[in-house]
Amino acid sequence: MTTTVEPNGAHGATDPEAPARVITVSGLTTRLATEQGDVTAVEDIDFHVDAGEVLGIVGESGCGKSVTAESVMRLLDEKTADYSGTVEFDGTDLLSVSESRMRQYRGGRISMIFQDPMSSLNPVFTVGQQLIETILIHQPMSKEAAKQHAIDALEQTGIADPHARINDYPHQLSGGMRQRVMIAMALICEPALLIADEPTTALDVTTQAQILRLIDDLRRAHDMATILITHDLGVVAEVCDRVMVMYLGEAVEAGPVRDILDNPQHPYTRGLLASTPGVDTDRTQPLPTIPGRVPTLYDVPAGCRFAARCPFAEDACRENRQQLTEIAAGRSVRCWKAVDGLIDAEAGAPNDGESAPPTGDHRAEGGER
Amino acid sequence: MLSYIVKRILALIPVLAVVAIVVFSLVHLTPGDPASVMLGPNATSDQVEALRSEMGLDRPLVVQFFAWLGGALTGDLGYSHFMGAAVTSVLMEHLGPTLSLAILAEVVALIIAIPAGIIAARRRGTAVDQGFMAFSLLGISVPSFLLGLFLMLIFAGWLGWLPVAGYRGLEEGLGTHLRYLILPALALGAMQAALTARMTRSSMLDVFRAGYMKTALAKGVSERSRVYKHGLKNASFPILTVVGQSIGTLIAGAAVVETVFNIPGIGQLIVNSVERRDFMVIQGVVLMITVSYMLINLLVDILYGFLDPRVRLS
Repeated sequence: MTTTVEPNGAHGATDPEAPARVITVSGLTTRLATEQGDVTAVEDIDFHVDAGEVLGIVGESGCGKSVTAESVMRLLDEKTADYSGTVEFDGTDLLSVSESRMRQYRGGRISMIFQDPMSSLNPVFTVGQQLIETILIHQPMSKEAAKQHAIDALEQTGIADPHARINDYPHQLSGGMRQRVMIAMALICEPALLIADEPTTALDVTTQAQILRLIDDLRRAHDMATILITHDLGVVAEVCDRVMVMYLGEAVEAGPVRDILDNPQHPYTRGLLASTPGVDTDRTQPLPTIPGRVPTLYDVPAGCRFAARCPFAEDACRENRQQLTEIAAGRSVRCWKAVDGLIDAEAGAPNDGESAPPTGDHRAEGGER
Repeated sequence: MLSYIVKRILALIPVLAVVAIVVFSLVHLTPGDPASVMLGPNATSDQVEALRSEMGLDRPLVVQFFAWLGGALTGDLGYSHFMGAAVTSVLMEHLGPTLSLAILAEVVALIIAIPAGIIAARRRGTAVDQGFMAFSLLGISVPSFLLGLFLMLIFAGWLGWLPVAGYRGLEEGLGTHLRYLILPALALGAMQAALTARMTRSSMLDVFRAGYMKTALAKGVSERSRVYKHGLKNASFPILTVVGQSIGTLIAGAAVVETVFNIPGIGQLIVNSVERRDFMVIQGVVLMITVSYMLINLLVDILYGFLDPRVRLS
């Protein structure tokens, strides 16, 4: 258990009945050396996940959500990435352990599912070989036992005829099947933490819902802490308990999913929600969009990073860096105007819970049925 | 897998037919009558006529072709009047040194190139990488005869460690055989090594970017196993292609290196036969080189099948 105090609110951190804290990330900053110069890909990220809980990390491409996930497991090229802050897991700071020690965590205690199941399985090894390899790295056992274990794991993910599939090569399987194999591989050593980096983005819509449900079921069955990275607010509404919204390498808003979807505070979160189509969206009108473009990491604004695209921005925003500020228990936002309640006032206080779309409207396509 | 191999072999038949026609036409497309060229300017027309009928040149072209083809299929490539021996036996006599040289050159090239390419890829952008790549550029740019002469000068001339030139067959012992062959093999293999090293590097770099390498890392696979098991097997396909294709260059390059080091191989045979217009031998050599090139490519295709399940099963 950790005693770290963090700004974005540990709901029930003092409650002895609370579920075990699995991971606590504090002040995570990742700098990357690129050919165009050094960039800070994510800056001062704080979050925590409890056992059985799902944290959603949301944002556009390039906002740093994948870098955040990969920093937790130290998957970025060690020659170009520089991490600071702490990632506390099992009472250990993962950012300061040796590489060989880190390998024992990867795939054993912490697992990751990637976006593209077409490229994330090795094309020249069978499904069985890849599953068995993972088992044998973390749990010494005979090859036969490992094979049986692999078959069981495939069966758990709903793959029909796992005895035959285990001898298949990835190219013989459909995208959904491959993602099931990836899930089986991620869960085969019963990790305490699962990180799913856009696990459904590359799949077709009906498969998306199935895979999402599978991850959610397995998460429940194994009481796993889960970090779900997505750009799809429908997915967040459906499976997450808490959510962290990221913009240009920073967390701009964090809190319980219902609160954020019903009552977004940061202008960026408001914009995201407004541009997400719901069931009752007027299809004859173009969807609202957030004007402007995301600045590049090479050209990060001095003040609020969202100011250039923010309809509520004023000079003070452009000059001063914004701090992530707690506005309620477990709820924080990086916008001084939102903290002062000025945005609700300027926007005509639309967020009384009446005019905000109910969360069900953000549901992923095919989520029902 | 078996049906894949059979398919590959069947696909060779039409290619072989075209090769046979082209090689056969070689004699008939060359200006000048082979018989009169062979006999020289002082021969009488009767002598030329006699030789023409002896060589079968007075028969219709189609008949000649099938007679030649039938012979070629049974291992009879005709008779060389210059050498006073059957072309097949002449070829066999010269094949040994060239085969030894080419195989040793390729082995030396692979031993140098694959580790160098992997190291360069893993240390991309560092001085080690740049050093290796500069060296490989040198390897591609320096002609093999020049490199051969330098090697000769250093290792045979100055240091006196190795014989200057010549050839000793395997029957004189492996040590002696290799002592005579190592310098020409280095000279011949340098370009091969340079090409293969570059291909290994770029192919490994591509593989390092692949999703499954990140998956392997996230699974807890060790760095060594990631590079050599997950990486190299995937990177080997383009490397294999380059090696297979450049073996043709190796055979052509052998002619030059054999001349420099005075090795009685196929290269020398070609040069000598062209000089004296020994068409029967030229025909035989060209046929043999083409067929061996095709067989090497067949071998590469079959290796692909073993390495890559996507090729095998499609």
